[in-house]
Amino acid sequence: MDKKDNIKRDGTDIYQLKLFVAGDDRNSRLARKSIEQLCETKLQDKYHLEIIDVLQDFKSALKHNVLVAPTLILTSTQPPTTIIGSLNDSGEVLKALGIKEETS
Amino acid sequence: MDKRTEASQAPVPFPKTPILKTPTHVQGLDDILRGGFPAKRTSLVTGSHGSGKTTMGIEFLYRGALAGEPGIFFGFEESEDAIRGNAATMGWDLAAQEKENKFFVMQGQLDADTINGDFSLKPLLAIISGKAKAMGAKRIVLDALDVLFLIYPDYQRVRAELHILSEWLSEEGMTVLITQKPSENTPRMQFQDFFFSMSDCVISMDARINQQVATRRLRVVKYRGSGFERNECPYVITDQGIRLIPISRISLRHKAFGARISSGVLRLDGMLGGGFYRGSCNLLAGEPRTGKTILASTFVQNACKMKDKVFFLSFEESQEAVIHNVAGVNVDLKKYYDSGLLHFQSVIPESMGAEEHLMQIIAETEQFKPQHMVLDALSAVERFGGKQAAFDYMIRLLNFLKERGITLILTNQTSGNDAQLEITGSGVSSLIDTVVFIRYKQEDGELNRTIQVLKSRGSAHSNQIREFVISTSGLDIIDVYVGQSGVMTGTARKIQEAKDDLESRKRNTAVTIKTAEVSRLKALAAAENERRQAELLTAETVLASLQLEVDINQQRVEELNVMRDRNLISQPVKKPSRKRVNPKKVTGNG
Repeated sequence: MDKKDNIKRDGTDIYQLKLFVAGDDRNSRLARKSIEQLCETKLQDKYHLEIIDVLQDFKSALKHNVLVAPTLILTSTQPPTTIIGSLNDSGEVLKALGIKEETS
Repeated sequence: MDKRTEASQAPVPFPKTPILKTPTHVQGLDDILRGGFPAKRTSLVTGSHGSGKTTMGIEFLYRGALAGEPGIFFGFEESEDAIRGNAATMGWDLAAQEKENKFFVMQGQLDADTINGDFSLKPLLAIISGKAKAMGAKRIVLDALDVLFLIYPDYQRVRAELHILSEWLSEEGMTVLITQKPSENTPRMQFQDFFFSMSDCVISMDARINQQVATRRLRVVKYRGSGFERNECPYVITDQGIRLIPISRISLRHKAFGARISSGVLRLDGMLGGGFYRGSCNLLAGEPRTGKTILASTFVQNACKMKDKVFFLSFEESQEAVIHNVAGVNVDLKKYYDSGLLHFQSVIPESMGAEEHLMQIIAETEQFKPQHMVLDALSAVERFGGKQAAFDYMIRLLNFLKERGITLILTNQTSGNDAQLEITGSGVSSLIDTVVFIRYKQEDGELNRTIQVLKSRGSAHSNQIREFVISTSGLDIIDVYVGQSGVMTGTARKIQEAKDDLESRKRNTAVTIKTAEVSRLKALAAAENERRQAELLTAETVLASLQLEVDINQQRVEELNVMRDRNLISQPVKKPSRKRVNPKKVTGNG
């Protein structure tokens, strides 16, 4: 994660996010709600969020090596950042994505 | 879908309804599993590193693919290229199968930077299902699945997820093989027990080092709704995949004995009731240096002379040493080795594992197709890793040979006075048809060999002990002298024979002498008889003349009486009565 912290981002950066869900099971619903809320409040128009249902599109899961759901992948970093789970702790999620809190 | 659900949940309706099975096509494994893994169910293979569980998974899919059943390999430990590389060492071209859409290999890598909240394995299942539908695959291998589950922090979650996984795959009609490391009794790995209970069939593969030699054993731990081979079964990983040789079912396919074949020693054939049977297992047991190898080589020479092929397996000496040694006693193996009728393999047992060696022997036998095999010596087989390894080795080899009708001549070194008890060797006696026992007999300061047939299945045989003689002209068996002090051999026998000879000559002389005496006596008797005859004749002649004289006298008396009556003579009449006494005396002497 240190590596990702080093990547320089300015205001023009777009956060490319993919959220892999499994239908609308509980964890998937929670994650979706959590990331959508987080994007709107913290990233405003600086993000692109794609929600992929693996039950409908297994090939995308295969391509991104997604074995568990929900999985959130930030593809705009190199290497991509992957967070698994229902994303119930938004502070941790922000930290993992390298997004600083409101104060910045 | 509904039907499948029912099938997966019903706990085998009737004991006699056979469950559907998916053949593994792994050599020997289907025998042990009585047909294969349970179809549309989950099976589990546990094994430590190097036990070959991944190879088992690859082989299950690869052989399935060759048989027209596509398969999916999901590995959680090794990369796709590592899997392809492993397969390539067995000559399995996975890439070619992948191109034909019959094989799919994927490394399941969980590279989460952060875990935040709960999650499920549904994408994994979605990938498997999606891929399986696209390929028409029914065989799934989840290799090292325990590694994947390490991401779950608690046992309950693993259990729930595994349950979903198992149900899902079953509903999809997949035959699943999960591999994992053996259970560890730690809280962290507690979920492994659940793998066990959710699987309908569980196999344990075990690689261990036994007396410095690697041995591998496979055991079916459970199989719901099916019978299976319960014993541990040795296996090897060859350059053609995993091979197992189960015993129990092979035994049923033994061929009946064939015709007789000479042992190469005429009188031994007699003792055996006509020679060895083709396809039988014959043990030549005896102390060191009693000539077991020479006897076996004599058999080889004789068999090769009849254009039979012989596989000579030597654990004791190199082929050069064997050929050279027996040449000294007029057994020529070199000729047949050169002509290709005799195939040699000499191995130091310590140099490889028993299973590896057994597989090699079997492969060579299948290629060479011999009528007979010589194994010299059984006692060395134990050096493969102890008595158990020797037993496993022998019982499988014997079964293999019997199944193919190959005669086996087996030598076994025994020692000490209880040798008779040892000869059975490695507990395989029930598979041995003939036991020929050579032993030393010490008497009068010298050692001689005796030979005896202790067992000869299916034929009348001599129980007698004979002397076994090895000379530069070869082997011979001669009668022993059975006297008051028991069996005599060697010089003692020769001395006894010499004594016998003297006695007999003495008797002959006595007869000659007596015969001469008898004829002499006969001659004497004849002479005596002649003399008596002569005497008799003389006496009779005398008698006759006397008689005549008497008659004449009588005549004269009568004439005188007449004349006296006529008074012609005046003389007295007493004279004639005195003369009558003489004839009586002569008659009495005669």
